[in-house]
Order: sequence, then structure tokens, then C-alpha cells
Amino acid sequence: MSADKKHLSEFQIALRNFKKNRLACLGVVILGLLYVAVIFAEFLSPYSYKNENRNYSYCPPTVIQFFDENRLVWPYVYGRQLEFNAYHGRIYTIDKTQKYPLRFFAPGDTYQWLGFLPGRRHLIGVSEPGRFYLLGADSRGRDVFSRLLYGGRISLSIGLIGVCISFTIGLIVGGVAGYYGGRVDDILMRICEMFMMVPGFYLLLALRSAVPDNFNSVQVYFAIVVILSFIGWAGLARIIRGMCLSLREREYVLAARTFGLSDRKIITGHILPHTVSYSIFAVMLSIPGYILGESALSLIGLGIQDPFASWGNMLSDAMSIVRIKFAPWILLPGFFIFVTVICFNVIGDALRDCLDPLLKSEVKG
Amino acid sequence: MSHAVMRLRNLTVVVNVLGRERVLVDGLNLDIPQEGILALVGGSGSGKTTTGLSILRLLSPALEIQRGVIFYKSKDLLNATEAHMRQLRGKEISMVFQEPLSAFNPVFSIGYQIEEVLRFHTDLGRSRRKARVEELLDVVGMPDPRGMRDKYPHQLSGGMRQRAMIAQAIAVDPKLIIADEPTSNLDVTLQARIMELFRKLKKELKLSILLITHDLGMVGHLADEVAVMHQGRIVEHGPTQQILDRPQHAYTRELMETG
Repeated sequence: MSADKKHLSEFQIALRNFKKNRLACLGVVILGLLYVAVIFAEFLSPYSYKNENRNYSYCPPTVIQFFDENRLVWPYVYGRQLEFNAYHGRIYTIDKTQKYPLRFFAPGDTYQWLGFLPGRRHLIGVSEPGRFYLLGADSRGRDVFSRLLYGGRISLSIGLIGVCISFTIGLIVGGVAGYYGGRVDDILMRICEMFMMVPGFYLLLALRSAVPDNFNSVQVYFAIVVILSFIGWAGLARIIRGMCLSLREREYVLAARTFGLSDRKIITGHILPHTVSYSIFAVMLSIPGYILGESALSLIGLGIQDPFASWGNMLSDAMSIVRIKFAPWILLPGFFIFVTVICFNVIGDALRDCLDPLLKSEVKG
Repeated sequence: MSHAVMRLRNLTVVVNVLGRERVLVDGLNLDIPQEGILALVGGSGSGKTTTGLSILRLLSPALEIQRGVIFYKSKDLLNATEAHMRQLRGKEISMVFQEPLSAFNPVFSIGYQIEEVLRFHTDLGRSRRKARVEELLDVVGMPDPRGMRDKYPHQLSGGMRQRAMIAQAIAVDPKLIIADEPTSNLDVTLQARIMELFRKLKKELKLSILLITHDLGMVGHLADEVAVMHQGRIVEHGPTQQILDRPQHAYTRELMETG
């Protein structure tokens, strides 16, 4: 316990313990890549999310060719021919007479990056009439890879925004209920219980049906965020309230009051900061709920509407076993949901291990 | 010393335990002398701390001030609005606690917490507040005030923490300080230094101090007047020398023998 050694701050100790957890570090890297990818979706995707070509419905992934007659050449892709077999199934055959070299920074669909920066260059693409489907095409011949990136933008951001809203509400309600106690506590907690009592998914559906159906996509997006956070705050508020009930009895709270600080300042400045480490991992562990909630709504057609992409509504293509059999790549959004949810859970668990004061490294030895 | 900065009259505090009332402070009358140190002495559970917290109206919700008046600047604090009380707390009347480790919030530096009082009660700018914090830490005799500002409570020794606590209490020049067993958790040499500090502050800042303690040794060194409290009542009250030399009440004698 020498003074020099002890000078690692709480945060540094937590960071050091976090780094020991390889799985969680991997989760951070994967999530980081996913977020960077969806932020630059317009540029990284070969096509716009609504660029469709019905001649390529459920076209399988395009294979990038590196060799031409056993010689290494600039990568290119072959064109495809659509035929129908006897059962009217679609058969795509590779047409080796058409070759389309890959182009970097290829001009393509125009876009406005994040809604303001106009551009038309895409990282990778092929010239028309060639089509480049890195991960196959969906029912309308839209590029699944491009839609995954655009859809990820919605699926990945909805968790963050939703969690911000519900945690703000949860911290305020929990803090107020726990600090004042008594009747205030009773009323606020009964309200919480009313929200927790109704099964989440039905509440989700009921609230969604209360939203006007003439909303545009942005409005629908925010309506879904608000609905999801509306359901999520109650559980957090109860836990924060419990912590505040014990925190308010600390002498530094009394001391703060003897210096004339207002209740609001005491709750936000002296009580809630002590719930931070809990809140951090609770945030991480609750984000998957928002992602899954959005996906579930979109999957059954109540969330993000076509042509806008989200991982959930892309999966609605995959609700028939026949389609999955012939075009397994339409399940990919599910894979991405799975990976994202696992990453958040792994990170959340690791954060709990390194932030929870009961599991300090000193105790574990 | 004829003037009293605060007069408590007939203060009665009760606690409700399962519908039955227990009296904690029983018709207490007390004058806190202007620019003087009044020691409120008594054993555990005699109602000293309850009296101190009643003055600030910060009793826990289970405790109730049943009747009485607390005159401060010819105003009855028990009838004052909550907003008015908030203005008084810290600015006119502040408190020093027994255990500064638990009276400071462990997640903020002591500089930040002293500054918080300034932020609330004054309209000093950021840099002026920082300068004032350093000045305060210097006044209470902390070495290296600038470095101490960024220290967290657990990084300081017990004596330093108590000094920081006192710096926080005098941050906005209060008139009255309620010191609740300020030296009980310190060793003897540190006790002497903290007492010295109180005496100095009293003189320099024209403070009145209500010293809550069970330590008669400290009382003899520091207090101008002593009030001995037993089971919620004042049993003996007078100048320090008189009480210590010729204790009248049996309880006072008992305290002196055990202390």
C-alpha cells in the first residue's frame, strides 16, 4: 500500500481489469468496427439502400475473381444470366463472357453523407450493367451488404438513444423517489410497477398502434425510440431508488444539507454519482433489449418501413423456409443482431466485474 | 458577552417509536454567546447532536420538533421558510462533523466540495473561487494548499481531513459554527492543534461556536461557557472555570471522573 502504487485512480484500475478480459476487448473491437462501418455506410456500401433491380431478385453473392486464365489480374466479377427452371425457380448462371472489373471510389448512387455532405463515390463498385452483390441480393434485387450497413445505422443507434432517454428518466425518478422516500416514493414506485406489470411486448404493440400511421421514416424512428425507452425506464428507476434510499443516509448528504445545498443539487451532485458504476454496466446490458425490441417491431412490419432498412425489417424477408433454403444470405441481418447483442452483453458483464465494488481485484486476490 | 447570537427557548424534540413518543430534548433553554464558545457537554444519547441539528432544522424525518423557538437575528428559525433556511445553512450557520471521512463525499476532491459551498452561496467567478479555496486551506493550516485542493478525502490524514472540513465550514464567513465532536476521532496531539485552530478562527473571524462534545479536557481549553446536558435537559450551565472547578450537579461530577 505504498503511496506511489496507490495512485492509480479508480478508473485506471477498472480499465486495467477490463483489459484482462480478452473476450470483452474483442467485443469492443467488433462493436467499434460495426459502428465505424455504419457511420460511413453511404461510402462503404456499393449501392443505395433503395437501389433495386428486379432482374436480380435473390441473386446469390457475387464471387470476386482474381485469376484470368491462371494469371493474376485486377479483380473482376462475372455477369449473371437469369433463367427459370421447370418449377419456375430462379436459376442464376455465371456468364463468363461478361467481365466487370472492380472499381474503387466508383461513382454510383448519389447520397448525402449523414444527411448533409453530398457525394456519389463509393468505396467499391462495378460499372453498369454489372451488379456487385457482395452478400447476395434480397427479393427486390437490392444489395444485402449495402442494406446491412444502412440498417445497422438504425439498429445500432436506436439502442444508444433509447438508453439515453430511459436512463435519464430512470435516474431522475429513482433519485427523487429514493431521496425523498415516503409518499413521493410510494407514488413513483407504483407508477413504475404499472409499467413493469404489463408484458413488455404487448405494451410495445399497444403503444406502437397509438402512433399515427402517416408518420415519415424519421418520425417513426423517433416514435420507436420513445416507445422503447418508455418501457425500459421503470426497472432502472427501481434499482436506482433502492441505492438512493441507502445513499441518502450517508453523512456527506447531511453535510451537504448543512451547507444549504438544494435537494436537486444533492440528488444530482452527491447521490447519483455513486450510482455511476452500476449505471454504466446496466446501460451496456440493456442496450440489446432496445436492439431486439426494434428488430421485433420491424420484423412484424410495425417498425421501420420498407424501403428504409433496419436489421429487423430485412429479416422479414426471411420468414419463409423456402426463401431461406434458396437464399440463406437473407438471414445475415439476424447474424449481425446476434453478434451485436453478444458484444454488448460480454462488455456489460466485463464492466460489471471490474466496476462492482464487491468484486474488487483486491478481494479476488 | 452579554449578547447572544442565538437563543433557544423551550426546545422540545420527540421521536415517535411505534406510536409512542419519546422525548429526546426536553424544554431546552440555551443562549449561544456572541463571539464565544459554548460547550454542550453530555454523554451519548443526551440529545446534544439532536439539539445541534434542530438549529439547522435538519433532523431526520422520524424526529419532530414539538415546540420551542430558536431565535437567530430576532427571527424564529422554526417558523422560517425552507428557502430561508437554505440561505442560512452554510452561509450564516454551518456545521463541522465528527468524522470528516464520511462527511466528505468520497467521489469528489475536497477542493471541489469546498468550492461547491462557494458556488452555492456566492457569485464568485471560477478562478476567484479556486483562489478562495486555496486561501481557506491556508487559513486552516494545511501545507501546500494548491496541491491539497485536488486531493480526495481518502488521500488525506485524519487531521488534514478535519482541517479541510473546517475550511469548508468557514468558506462563506458564517456567524455560527456547530462543531459536533470535532476532535473525537483524532489523537491527542492533533486534538490540541485543532483546538488551537478553533481558537484562532474564533478570534480572527469573530465566530460563535457551539461545541458539542463529551470531552471535558477539550472544554477546559476551549470553551467560554459550558452547558451540561443529561437526558435531554440542561442540568448545569455557567462559565467554564466555575463548572469545572465547582461542579454542582451529580452528573457533571460523574462526567468529570470518567472523562
